Amino acid sequence: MEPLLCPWEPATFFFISSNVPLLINYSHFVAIFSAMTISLLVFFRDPRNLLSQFFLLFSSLFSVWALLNIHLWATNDPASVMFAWSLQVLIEPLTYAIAFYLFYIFLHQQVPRFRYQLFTVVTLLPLIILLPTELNLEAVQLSTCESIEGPLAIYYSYFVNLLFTLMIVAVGVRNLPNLEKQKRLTAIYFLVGLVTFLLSFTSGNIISSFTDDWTVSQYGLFGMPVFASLIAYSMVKFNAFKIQIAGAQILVGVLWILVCSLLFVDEELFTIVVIATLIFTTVAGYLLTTSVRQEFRQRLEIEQLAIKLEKANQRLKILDQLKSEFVSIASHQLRSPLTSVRGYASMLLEGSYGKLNDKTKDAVERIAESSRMMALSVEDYLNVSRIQAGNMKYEYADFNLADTASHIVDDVRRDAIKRGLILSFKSEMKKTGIVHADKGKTMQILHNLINNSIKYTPKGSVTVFAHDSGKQIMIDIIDTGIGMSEETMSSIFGKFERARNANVINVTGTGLGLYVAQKMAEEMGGSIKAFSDGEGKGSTFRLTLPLYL
Amino acid sequence: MPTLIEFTKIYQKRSSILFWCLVGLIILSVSATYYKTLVLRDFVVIDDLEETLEE
Repeated sequence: MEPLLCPWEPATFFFISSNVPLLINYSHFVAIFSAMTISLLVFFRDPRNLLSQFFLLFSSLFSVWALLNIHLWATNDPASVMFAWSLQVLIEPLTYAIAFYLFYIFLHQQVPRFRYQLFTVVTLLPLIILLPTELNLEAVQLSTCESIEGPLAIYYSYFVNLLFTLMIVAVGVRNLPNLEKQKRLTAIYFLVGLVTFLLSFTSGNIISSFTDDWTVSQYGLFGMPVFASLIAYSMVKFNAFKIQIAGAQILVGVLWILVCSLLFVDEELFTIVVIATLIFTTVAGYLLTTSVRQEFRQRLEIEQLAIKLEKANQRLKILDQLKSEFVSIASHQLRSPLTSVRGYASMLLEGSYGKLNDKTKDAVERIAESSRMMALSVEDYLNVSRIQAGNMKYEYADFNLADTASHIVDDVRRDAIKRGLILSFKSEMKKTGIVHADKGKTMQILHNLINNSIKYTPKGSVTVFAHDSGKQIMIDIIDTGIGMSEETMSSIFGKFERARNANVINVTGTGLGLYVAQKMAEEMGGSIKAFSDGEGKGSTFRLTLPLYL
Repeated sequence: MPTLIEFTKIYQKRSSILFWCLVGLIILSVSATYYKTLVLRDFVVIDDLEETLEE
């Protein structure tokens, strides 16, 4: 037997039929476009974000509902009507439940607690279980191709919709006062938009269900563009979903569709569409102008700040230069008298001004030692000043580093013996040990490292070991001194840094020697590294420079 | 007494079970509706075409 069909042609491509009024296409496709564009933009901006995922789910459910609705208007097959209508009865409350989740996640950045989840499932359960029964849809009328709704569709589903809408309002009212100002304003826009859409959607359907005039329900869908506009506005104003530009683009996009659709509507609908477009243009225009003004003001502020920053930067450069000059001049001024002090102290000790008694000799020896220490400190400050100003000059030449290290060991051996230490030199060089570097600076580095080792070794030995890896030469200064912790090793090359246990053996120092030595080594293409098995277990400092092949 | 981590795991597990039960039920229910309406065409059709035409 041929199935009974409604009195119009079958739908082509699921949606197209002469039975579908233009208003239906207009209200549905604008709503679907608004919802899907915004949710997809938000989703692809941050696909892992829970809010983005639920926003997309919410918009998708709504869009499926709207597509089914167009199909309901288009089809002439009662079976299709019964199936699509049944799905709508399920999808509609599901959309409301997801809207509640969406707002909850917006406020708390996490899904609702388990008790809320259980409540949602229990509330939806009768709709799911009774969906295929006559409690949902009783029959279908052939003349209009409309279903006769049962108590589940006409009462329970609307009850669920209103329940979730009330829950959204309740959660909002409870949490809004606790939010910070900007988040609160965004949440208010979100809440107003969402509730406007949900109420207009439900009230349209409720009126249609009770009056059997399903044209009324189509106006309810205009709530979606309102919601979408408010979401877009909150994006522009508060950067709520971090896609400010997209928000402005959506406003323009919706406006374009509204104006464009004017070309296709008939005279009867023209006034309605013009009014809708006018309202949207007024609101969107105001919002866009406001946001552009705000952006412009911010840009002006940023430009002014950039000018101030540039001036401050120039001033800082001048101050830095002045500081470097001051340090340099001050250090030079200190160095000249110090040279005199050291010279005269040396002459006194050599007996150029007559023989000194023991007490006087002891005092002059202290003067000589202190002035030597002070000269070294001044030299360190001068070097730091030069390094920072980029004025350190390097005179490159080829020389044998292993031999140089050996000579330095010979020079400082007397100091080591004075302290009761054994200072030795060992070489296992496979190559000649020629490097291309500044000899004076390299000697300064080695002096610094060997003297450091002597200073920080109360007893035992200091060994200077020259070896190579074929491309690089390594000079290891190995001592049996106070050692270092891991923490000290990581910071020892910083400015004004000294070993934590340095004061244990009462050693004076500026904490600049290793900083200067490392900077010099790096400038010459090498490095200095420190190794130690821990405090009290000795240290090894390694100077590495590239071999001149 | 379960520790906080154990509690979180139990909590996540029961949320997940609930979610998949819901998805399963929806699939079953939609399939049943599809079978009843589109395959069996088991529903009441009020043939009011003649009445409407008379009006």
